[in-house]
Amino acid sequence: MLEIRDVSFSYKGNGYKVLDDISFSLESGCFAAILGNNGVGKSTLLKCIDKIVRPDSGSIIADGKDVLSISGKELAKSIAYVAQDARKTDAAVFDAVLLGRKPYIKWDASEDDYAKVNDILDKLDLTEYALRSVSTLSGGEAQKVTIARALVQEPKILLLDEPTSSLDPRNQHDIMKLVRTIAKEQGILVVCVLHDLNLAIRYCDRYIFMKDGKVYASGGREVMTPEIIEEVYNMHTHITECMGVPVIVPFPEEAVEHHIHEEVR
Amino acid sequence: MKYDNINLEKYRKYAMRKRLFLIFLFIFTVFTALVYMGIGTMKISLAEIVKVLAGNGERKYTTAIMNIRLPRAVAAILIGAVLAASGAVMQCVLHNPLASSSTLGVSQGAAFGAALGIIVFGGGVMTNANSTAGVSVNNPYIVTICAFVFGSVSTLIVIGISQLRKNTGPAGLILAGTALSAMFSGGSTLLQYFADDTSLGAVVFWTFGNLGNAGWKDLRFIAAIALASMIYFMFNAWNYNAMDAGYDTAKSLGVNTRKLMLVSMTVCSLSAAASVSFVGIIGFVGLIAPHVVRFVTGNDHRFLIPGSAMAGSMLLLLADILAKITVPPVILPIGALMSFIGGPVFLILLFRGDKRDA
Repeated sequence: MLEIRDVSFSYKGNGYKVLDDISFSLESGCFAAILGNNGVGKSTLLKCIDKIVRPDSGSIIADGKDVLSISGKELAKSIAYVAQDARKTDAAVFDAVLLGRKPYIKWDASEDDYAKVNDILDKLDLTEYALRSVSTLSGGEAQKVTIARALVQEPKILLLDEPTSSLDPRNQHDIMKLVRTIAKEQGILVVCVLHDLNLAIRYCDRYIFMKDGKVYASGGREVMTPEIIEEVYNMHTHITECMGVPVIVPFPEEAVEHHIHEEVR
Repeated sequence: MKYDNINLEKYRKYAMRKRLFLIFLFIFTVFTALVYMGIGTMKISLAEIVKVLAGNGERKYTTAIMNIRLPRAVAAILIGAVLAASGAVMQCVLHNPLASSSTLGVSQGAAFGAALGIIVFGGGVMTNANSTAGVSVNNPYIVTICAFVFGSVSTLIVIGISQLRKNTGPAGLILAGTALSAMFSGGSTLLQYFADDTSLGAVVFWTFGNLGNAGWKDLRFIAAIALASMIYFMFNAWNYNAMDAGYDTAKSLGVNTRKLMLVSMTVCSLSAAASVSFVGIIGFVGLIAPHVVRFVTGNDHRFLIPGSAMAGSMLLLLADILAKITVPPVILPIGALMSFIGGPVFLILLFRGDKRDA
């Protein structure tokens, strides 16, 4: 579904490699998390996959298409992207979602386009807001609108850049649940940059850890270990379970760390 | 399912309201143009104007309208439309509500070009052709060409810089435009410092702005430019909507944002420079018209672009009516009047807009 081979990227001028020979592949229906420290290139990787920035080398095959050689419009029919800080638009919700039909629109939107927008709004419980300006919605609802816009694009792959970063806890879980349902029900591959390890371990099923512009580890639940997390985040953690929910408890202070080690021993 | 249909129906009504607004604007603009042609030292009734336009009016009215008032009205309509639509597009592609041809150096460049044409290339032989204006510029084409060249040059330099340094963002473009505006203003002042009295008078008079400067031949040229740029803008209305959601989002929707920005900026500055070079500096239309229309259409460029164009036309017509009736028989300079009224109007819009956002 998504196959990334030896992708490298550096910003012009300084020669510093933000992405250094990144390779991994993901299947349909997965909900994958890209994890790692600030500045490690997670967002850049996401942008490379959607050709928002063009990698210096490597190849990306998405939905059977060679991403780097097809047109932006063609790519938009396979991959949808939700930016981290979507610009606050004052457009009505319906219009903001209709924008997702852009790759299919020639001169103006068709009846089919309107119907599809209507369906998505219904599915995400946004119908009552249809004619309200997006800028008047709460953060959670606004994020749902951007996800609706991405879904109405009918993508095979959905890229989300920190979809929960500006949301309150309740909305974080609602959005993650929603996205997981979408991935499972529609067989869409969702690739998501996340900072919250607990959200990642709870909702995602594939994990890509990045360190120094490289993939440090990738795989299923088996790579979510305290050892790997410590290497990637330079922070000691303990993974446990609470009422059937996997929980990652961080111990950033060394003193506490020693204390824990004592106790464990 | 029934619920769905009600929802779609609601959206259709909502879109219809915007369409009705455009139709209303159109009717009102035509009406304003008709009223406009009746105003002046010779009062002409609406009925008479319609007769003249239909081709069977009285001779003296026909002469006045076909030779003076209609071209002036057409100039106001075309130039208002070009300046306002290009303002709306610049504001969109640069993500900056203050972008317009007058804030990005087109006006200042054109003024410098006109000064250069009058003072250096001798387009400044004065004649007493017009009793109300007192002075006018002889050999206007040198002045027009210089104004056009320098009006476009400032934005083209800005675009050139952004091409050389690929990571120049929209804020960089705006700042570069401001820097070039300052340079051209300084250049104009320096030229004026060395000019003799008659040339100086001509330069100052040119910068006042005068819709009467454009004859039928000029108008045909402006009309062709206006039509071409409007077609380009409307063809890209969906792309502008995507741009409005953010550059990365637009790219992910398949829009070539860089190309769209560069071509749009070029089209905007060339068409604005072409209009301005015939009639002198007319500022603020490109700022005010889109902001007023946005109150109704929002940032949906399918409606915002044609709406801004019509609002721009109407704004210039109204401003020129004001210019004619304030101290008759003197016709006040439209450019100066537009800025004088436009400034406060823009302030009101700005603070009302702020309240709405909060």
